[in-house]
Amino acid sequence: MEYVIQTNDLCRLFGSVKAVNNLNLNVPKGSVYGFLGPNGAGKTTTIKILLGLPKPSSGTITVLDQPAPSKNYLHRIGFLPDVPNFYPWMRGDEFLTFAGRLFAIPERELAKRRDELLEITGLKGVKTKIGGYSRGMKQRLGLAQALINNPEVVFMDEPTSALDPIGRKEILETISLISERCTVFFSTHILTDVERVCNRVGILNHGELIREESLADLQQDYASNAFRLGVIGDPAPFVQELRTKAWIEDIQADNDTLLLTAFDIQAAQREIPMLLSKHRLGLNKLEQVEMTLEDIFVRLVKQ
Amino acid sequence: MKNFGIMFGKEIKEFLRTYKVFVVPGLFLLFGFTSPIITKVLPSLLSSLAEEINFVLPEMTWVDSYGQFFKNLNQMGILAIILTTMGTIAEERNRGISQLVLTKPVPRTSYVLAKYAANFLPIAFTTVLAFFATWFYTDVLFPDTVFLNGLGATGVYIAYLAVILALVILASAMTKSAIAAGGLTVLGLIILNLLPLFSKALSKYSPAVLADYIYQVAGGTAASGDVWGAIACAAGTVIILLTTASLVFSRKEL
Repeated sequence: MEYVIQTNDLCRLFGSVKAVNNLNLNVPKGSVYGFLGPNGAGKTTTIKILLGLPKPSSGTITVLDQPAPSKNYLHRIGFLPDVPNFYPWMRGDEFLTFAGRLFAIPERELAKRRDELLEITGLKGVKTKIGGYSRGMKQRLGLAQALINNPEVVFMDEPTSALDPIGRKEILETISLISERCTVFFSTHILTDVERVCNRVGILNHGELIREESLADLQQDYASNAFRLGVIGDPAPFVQELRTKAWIEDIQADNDTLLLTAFDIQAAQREIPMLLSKHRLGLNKLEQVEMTLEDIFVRLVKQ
Repeated sequence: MKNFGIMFGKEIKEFLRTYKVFVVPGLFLLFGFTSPIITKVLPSLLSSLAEEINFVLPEMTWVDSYGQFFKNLNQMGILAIILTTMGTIAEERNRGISQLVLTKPVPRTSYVLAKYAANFLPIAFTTVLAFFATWFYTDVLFPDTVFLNGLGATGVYIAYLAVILALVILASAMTKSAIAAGGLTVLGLIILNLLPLFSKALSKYSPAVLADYIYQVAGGTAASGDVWGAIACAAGTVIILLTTASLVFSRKEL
């Protein structure tokens, strides 16, 4: 597999606090990589380090085969910050022209690309100065400027977190569109966005990468060993005994519905009916569940 | 210096399309037009205000007119320059705009130098324009006005301005707040003005003494060797301040 971003034991300290702790990222070429984590997990710090804004405390980084921090790959990447800010006195098309010139794009090509991006982001014909833009419009302009140089990798720091549902939908649709031609590295804590557009995830907590794999594999891993049980009767003694079993990994109880995760699926299938019988509980539902990314995320972060 | 030209062009556009185009040039031109008139009417104005007090004022000359003009530029003019440029880097960093620009192929040195050049050139140009206005009215109102003295003093003022602006740029590169940058600039100015007290050479050549040389050049009493020496020191100071600003800003986390 060809990787466009790789980090090796990346660390970033703020005083004695490890904002990023021995991070080993592998972002495959062409993927839409969801970089997940709760607030304060170190997502923004990681993105900024990858962009060369602060230097890491230790560890190595490679972006597009170039060692980082270095300016050698800046012309091949795009960046959309979480809350993009612009020169308020410029118009959107002027900012795109300015950004394109920084990449030394020939004027004729730049004009074509600028018009195309304004069209994609729905900003074509907007003559208002950026100072008068709504938050959603700024986000869309941010996306357009991140794409002006036809980047090979686009870094997006929580691109949808400040948007209303319509703004989010538009941004996610644009991400899906651009993912056909470049790698997208996309940090967020909005799990439904990841489920919608990403095909690979890295889950970060307290600066540490706790899981990194394809979204399908992650869901497969957790789907195969989770059961939802609907019981009739008081489940408390049953749950208490289940917790003593070596094959049980986790139990989440919600009234008479239990979500069980097992280390050993065969043992679970064999013993659960016996235990139900022993505790004289009726059964109105037993199903193997596909866990949502949110369930997986919460479990991984809790662990 | 990659992309310096594009950054410079952007800064010039910003100067022309924001309030900045009115504040400093407007103020300088106002001083340019009004300084000779104020100098001319001041004695009669004072006499008419307090008729019972017998004012004995020397007769005003073209040197006083130039002096009034440069005094205004040195006080209100410098204050206006500090207020309009102190946020030039700090504010962009604070609002995250520099993050967006500097993740494109823009070296931080180009970013800092473009800020300096694009703030300096319009102000220097306006200073020359304002001087022409002052010279014109001085020539009309006072006899025997010497143009070259005024032009020379304008050159010395521009050299002084170059140092002040480099100081503002350094202060702005050091902080994330425009107000803090303004405070640092004032502190820098105080230090700059204390330097001449420490040695005879500094009292002749340090950039702060340019402010005194402006009046001497205008009146034709300056020793040209000292003035050129101070201008050379000012150029060196600008280079040191801008190099430091670039280094400081390069180390800043955005």
